[in-house]
Amino acid sequence: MPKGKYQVQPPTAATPGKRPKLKGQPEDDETVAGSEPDLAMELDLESEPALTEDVTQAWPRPAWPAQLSGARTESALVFQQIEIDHYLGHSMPGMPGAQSGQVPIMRMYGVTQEGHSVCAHVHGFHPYFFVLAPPGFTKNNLGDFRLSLNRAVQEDSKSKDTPKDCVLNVELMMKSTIYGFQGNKMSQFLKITMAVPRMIAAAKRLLDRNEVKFQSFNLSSPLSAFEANIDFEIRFMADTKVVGCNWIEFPAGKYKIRDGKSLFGKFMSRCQMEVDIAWDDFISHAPDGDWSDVAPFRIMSFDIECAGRKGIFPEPEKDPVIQIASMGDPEPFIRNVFTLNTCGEIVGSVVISCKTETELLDRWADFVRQVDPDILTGYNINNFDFPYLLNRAKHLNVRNFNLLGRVIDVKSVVKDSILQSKQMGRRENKVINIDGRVQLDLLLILVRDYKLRSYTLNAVSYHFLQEQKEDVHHSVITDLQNGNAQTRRRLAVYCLKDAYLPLRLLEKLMCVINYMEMARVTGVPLSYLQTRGQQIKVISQLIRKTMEVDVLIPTYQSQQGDDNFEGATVIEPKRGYYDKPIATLDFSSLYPSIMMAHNLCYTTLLQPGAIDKYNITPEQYVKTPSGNFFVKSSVRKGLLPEILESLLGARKKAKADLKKETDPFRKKVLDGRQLALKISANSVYGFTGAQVGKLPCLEISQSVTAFGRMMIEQTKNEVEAKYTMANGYKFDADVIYGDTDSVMVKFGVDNVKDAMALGEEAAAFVSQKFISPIKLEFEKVYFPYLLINKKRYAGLYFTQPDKYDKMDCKGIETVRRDNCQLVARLMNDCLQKILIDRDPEGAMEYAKQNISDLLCNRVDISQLVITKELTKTDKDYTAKQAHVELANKMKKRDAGSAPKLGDRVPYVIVAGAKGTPAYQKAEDPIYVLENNIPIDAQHYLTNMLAKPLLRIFEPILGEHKAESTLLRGDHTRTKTVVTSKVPLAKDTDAVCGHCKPKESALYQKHISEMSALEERFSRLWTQCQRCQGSLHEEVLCTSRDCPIFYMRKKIQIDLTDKDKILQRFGNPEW
Amino acid sequence: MPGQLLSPPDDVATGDRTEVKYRRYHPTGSCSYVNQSQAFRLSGRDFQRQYFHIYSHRLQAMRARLERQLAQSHPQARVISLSELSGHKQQEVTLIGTLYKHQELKPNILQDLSEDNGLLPPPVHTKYISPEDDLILEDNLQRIRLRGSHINVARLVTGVVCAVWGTEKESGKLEVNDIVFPSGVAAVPRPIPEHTSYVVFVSGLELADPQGASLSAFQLAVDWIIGEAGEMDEQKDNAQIQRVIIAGNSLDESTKDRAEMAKAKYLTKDVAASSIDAIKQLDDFLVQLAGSVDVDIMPGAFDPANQTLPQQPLHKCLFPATNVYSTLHCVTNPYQFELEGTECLGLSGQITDDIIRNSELDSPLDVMESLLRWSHLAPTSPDTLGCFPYAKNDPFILEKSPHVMFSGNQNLFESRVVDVNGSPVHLLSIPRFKTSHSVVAMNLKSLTFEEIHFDASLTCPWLK
Repeated sequence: MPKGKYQVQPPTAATPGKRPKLKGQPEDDETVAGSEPDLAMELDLESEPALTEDVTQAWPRPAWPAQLSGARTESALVFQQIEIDHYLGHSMPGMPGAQSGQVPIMRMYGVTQEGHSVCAHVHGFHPYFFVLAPPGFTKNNLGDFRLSLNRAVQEDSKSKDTPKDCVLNVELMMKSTIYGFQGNKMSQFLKITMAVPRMIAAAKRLLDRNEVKFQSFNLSSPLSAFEANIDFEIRFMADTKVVGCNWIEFPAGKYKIRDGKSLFGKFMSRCQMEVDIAWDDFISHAPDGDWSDVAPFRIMSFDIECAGRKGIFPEPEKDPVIQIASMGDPEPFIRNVFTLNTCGEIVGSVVISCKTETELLDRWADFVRQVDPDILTGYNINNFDFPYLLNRAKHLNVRNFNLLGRVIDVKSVVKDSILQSKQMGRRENKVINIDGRVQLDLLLILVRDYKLRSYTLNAVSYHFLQEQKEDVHHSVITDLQNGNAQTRRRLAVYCLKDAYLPLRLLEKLMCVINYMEMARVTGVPLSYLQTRGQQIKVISQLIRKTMEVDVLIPTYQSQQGDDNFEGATVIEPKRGYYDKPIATLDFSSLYPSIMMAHNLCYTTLLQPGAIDKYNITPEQYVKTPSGNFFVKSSVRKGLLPEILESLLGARKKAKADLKKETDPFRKKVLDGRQLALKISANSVYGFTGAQVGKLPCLEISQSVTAFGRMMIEQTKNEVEAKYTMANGYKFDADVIYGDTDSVMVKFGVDNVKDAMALGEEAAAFVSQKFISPIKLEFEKVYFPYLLINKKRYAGLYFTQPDKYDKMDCKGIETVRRDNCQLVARLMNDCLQKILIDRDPEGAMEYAKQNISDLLCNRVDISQLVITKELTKTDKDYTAKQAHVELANKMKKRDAGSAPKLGDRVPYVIVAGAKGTPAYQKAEDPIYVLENNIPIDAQHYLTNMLAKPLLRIFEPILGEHKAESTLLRGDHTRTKTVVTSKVPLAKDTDAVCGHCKPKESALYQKHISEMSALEERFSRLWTQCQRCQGSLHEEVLCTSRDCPIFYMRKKIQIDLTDKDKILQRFGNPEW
Repeated sequence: MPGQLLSPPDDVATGDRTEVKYRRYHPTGSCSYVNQSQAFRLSGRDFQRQYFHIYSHRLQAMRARLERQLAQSHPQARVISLSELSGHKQQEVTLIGTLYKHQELKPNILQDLSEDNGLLPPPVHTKYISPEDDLILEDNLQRIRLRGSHINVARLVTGVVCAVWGTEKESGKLEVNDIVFPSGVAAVPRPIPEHTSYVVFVSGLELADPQGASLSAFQLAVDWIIGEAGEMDEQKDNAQIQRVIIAGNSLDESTKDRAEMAKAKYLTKDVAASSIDAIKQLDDFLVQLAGSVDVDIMPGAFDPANQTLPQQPLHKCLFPATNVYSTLHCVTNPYQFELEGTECLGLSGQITDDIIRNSELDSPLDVMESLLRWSHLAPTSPDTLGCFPYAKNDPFILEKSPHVMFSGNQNLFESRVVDVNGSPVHLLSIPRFKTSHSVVAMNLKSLTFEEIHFDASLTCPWLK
């Protein structure tokens, strides 16, 4: 490794102290588990920066040593790149590639080990694609081909700037197509190098339509294009062996540092150093060993507050931006808030008060440019904060605000994008270009990677950090802004918190490390992981592999197919409650290993007629259960199996390294890597099945699933044939259920230890029957096990004989978002009682008690709240929707606090006259509490609770018994009928004469209830004070996700009612 | 009238009977007893409020007091607000604010709720303190962490208002050099009564089941008080008992029906409150006492009264038998009264217990002394001890020192005289009768205390 004055070698394991601190090292974790959700205090207190002025000084990056400003390149430059893009510019003298006209120049942004930012211009790389050479094409036709195509492209282009040389080069090469077995023969292909990327599409179109007239030959059919739809950056990275976020080394003497003065030395970016290099002169380090470390990237999180008008979602043309808070990682280089108008000081944070909104926006943009963050994050920044800021700045004519990126004169603009993916469905998002900085919107990450009940920042913080955050209703924000410096300070504290939480979450979920590892494994730039789908990752890996073996990928015209192939089927479950250990045998990485075992690949696919054409003998191919043919690896080894082998091999290695590694930070990196490798391996199968993809191949995907089904069946038969009493085992084994890649076996033994031993044995035994690398593994034992239906089961999960690891529930109403919490909680509690306590009777009693509580109106209303997002106005909904109707109703009551488009509407179902349609029975929970409106308990019981409850109890009690005991027992007969607004009796006496002797007893009952309510009242409201971190200020939080939000309201009402009753006994006297 | 029931026999010298009755001592003058607890009475209760009012009022009232105090004692002190702190870097400043103690172990309702589903009961702590606790000063807007050897985190609690001197050495942390609490007004020297008379304190009867061992002991105590038991001299002395104060927890915790509340209604709809029998017993005792002497009954944590401070008097409908006597006084907790010019301030024990849980203080006497020095009767309310959400005042602010301060339901009888605000205060810890079988008699003339133990076992001296 070259050494130099300012070049720092990536740290070795021996010097862990120098390691860049990407937050999340264990010693930082102690604040996470805190029981006291006192975020405001944390904000105030965690900070280490000494005093205000020092904090502002910490904004810019560490300065380059002065001697480096000249063009001295005698030492190597090493940095970790984080983003790669390209631009069109003039060719630079001394660099390879076209010497005139506009040329594409790649740009890599990165950070050195010391935290200096680098922008590298990589010259001389041109885009290219391939076509299958026409029959009889020779070297002599090359000149004509180039000139003719060049002319056609020039004529096609309407632009004046079109250079003279559009087609830079045409070469003859021997390659073969990936699609279908070709008898291991190469064909002639033309590699066509174009001047700029956009010309590829034009050239391909012209060739496709056969519109190019050649002089030396005639084409009878159009030339089909190969690899014409590969992103230019992906092409460049594959050709230079660069993967996302790896370390790049510019060897000494090979690069030039820009000085900002000369013609070719002008600065184009805001990075600290700009360098130029030829595309074939740099070294790309594979992310292994020392090169797997991470440079000290600057991560900045921010949040904005807008002063909206009552009842209207803020519009950038009308409503001002009043505050922007920013938080930086690694701590504590930034911690500030820009405010409109004065604002009280916040201990530990810098407050920058601005007089006008223009000043606010201007100074913030300037601050971002000074800080020069590598990664921008926040919550919903892509779809709200960034677009709002940019549109607002445009409206106010704030010059230069939109220059947030690293490229000096590129403005950030907002565009709409639609991402369609099988995994996530259709998503509309905004895309903002902030060149050179990666945007990681935490909301998008969570929506993509986690299934949660609610995605509000508050709910997410509670879920992952067990912390509540204060939530101020948007109607209060304007009031706080219009107050004084202290009310604005209060707002600023919220704003800071909202900027701080995304950082905490990124750290806790290790998003940055996991994303970087995914980028490294799949070879795509970090930003692609958020903006692009799954396919680009497979393409990136595929193209790296095909390059090595002279195979080309056809440019597939994606079309909507409607072939449906049979998915994975399951062995029909034998439903029931099993009080015996159930061993689970899993095929590890089933689909990848099927592809490897049977050599399933594009390159090995025998298309119709191919068997005869290439004289393949029956021993040389395999017929899959779906009726497709593939050659065996003895004839040709498939590429996909090779890719999978290397992915799984790398995963094995990462897991082995993980075991050995002691450094906590590297452990996280390795764990992120093995996860990325696993996901990547599994996505290869999906790629072949994606019909609107780059290269679908149903022959592969349907063969894979067909093999899978067959293997599950076979496993069942093998196990049931071997483990029988006839063969000397104590019991006959019974396969009670099988799913995609696992089978559940009841061996009949009554303890976990024996079941484990048999499981291990059976896995090894069955594995022998399959082709390597398919392997059946014994993983876990469920004991007891409640099998409800296909994909619905629950059990205690054992991996060692003496203690269970967890309670595992699949497909049971515990996380579904369209349910109320009561269902999730009750299901979970009942399952715990059944499985952990092994007390089905107790579970039954518990369920009955809850049903009774529901019918007696004793369930906390937050448990009954259903939440739906108001995505469209009611005109756009075809059928009447409960939450839309309710939003309209609320608008009539108070337009100010009514939910707006995009808000989530919480509601409960209230009792209505018989025959009232369900959509009219939705009501605002607060309104219900305040007006004492009766809940439609029966609706909750029959429409929400009954089915899931019966599902778990039927296997235990039997169908009829479950229903009769659960839904028709004594407990359903005591009901509290809350009648609306009955005025309390006006009589001054509490009791009638008849009851006078019982007066004391009655009083005792009421006062004892009163005291329980009082205690709850004080605990609830003091908790809110603790959470907001202030004793002297009013609690303003309206976070409806908070478990105590409705409770604290309800308790006020209950206390007032109870007090009224007690008053009737007369005020106690001395 | 009750006093006449105890007329002495015509001829004391005749007969062998030791059962001699003396005329109950009655103080002269109409103002000899004044209930001063008006501030703790609530009428028309509004629960639509939050707790920030009470804290704000507390800080405002105490701040004024502290500023006056500082003008006297520390004329150089510059009192600033936390928002002005950045203008005084590395300088010693004075801040006034409310303390907030951050305690990891403090019970948290959010956790309790999430553990509702869990199967493990939350761990039970007798103390909610740990070495990691942090003390924070909050003025009306901002907060700062307090540091330094002058701050004894373990002996301070949330809700105390104070002035601190210190320097902000690190951002967000104040290195404290000194701390001052608001002082109250010294008690007016009390008039020494001419006659000797006694006040008897009882607490923690914790009546529950009719077979309790303490039951017969208490009957003995009642007999002793009303002059039905004891030697002749004793009876003579006991006739000088002018008042009995029952300082809370007359009923046992088990009568609180907590578990019943959680049960489904279809199982409990016909179940009566479990306090009914115990209340009946209590009424039986009270009627015996009230027939002879003035009885003040304070509500405690387990009694059928409201839960949060200030606890309102027990309702008279609970005592249909005793109700007819004007000598029964149902009073508040806290309870403030004046007896022959001696000012007394009483607690049923929740406040001292809560502070013991949230600090390293262990003795109720230490706690009471601290309360007097902080000039606040219930600083941990509402944070860890519920109280009514007052809107316009904080009734727990102590304006002046009492002559006697007591706390009921404690483990041991203890007493001590401390000097607060320049006047002596007699502190008394009243033992739980259920475990100690003791009452405390206070000599109102000398302000001395004596623990009187009742043993109802067979070795009882009066059965010899």
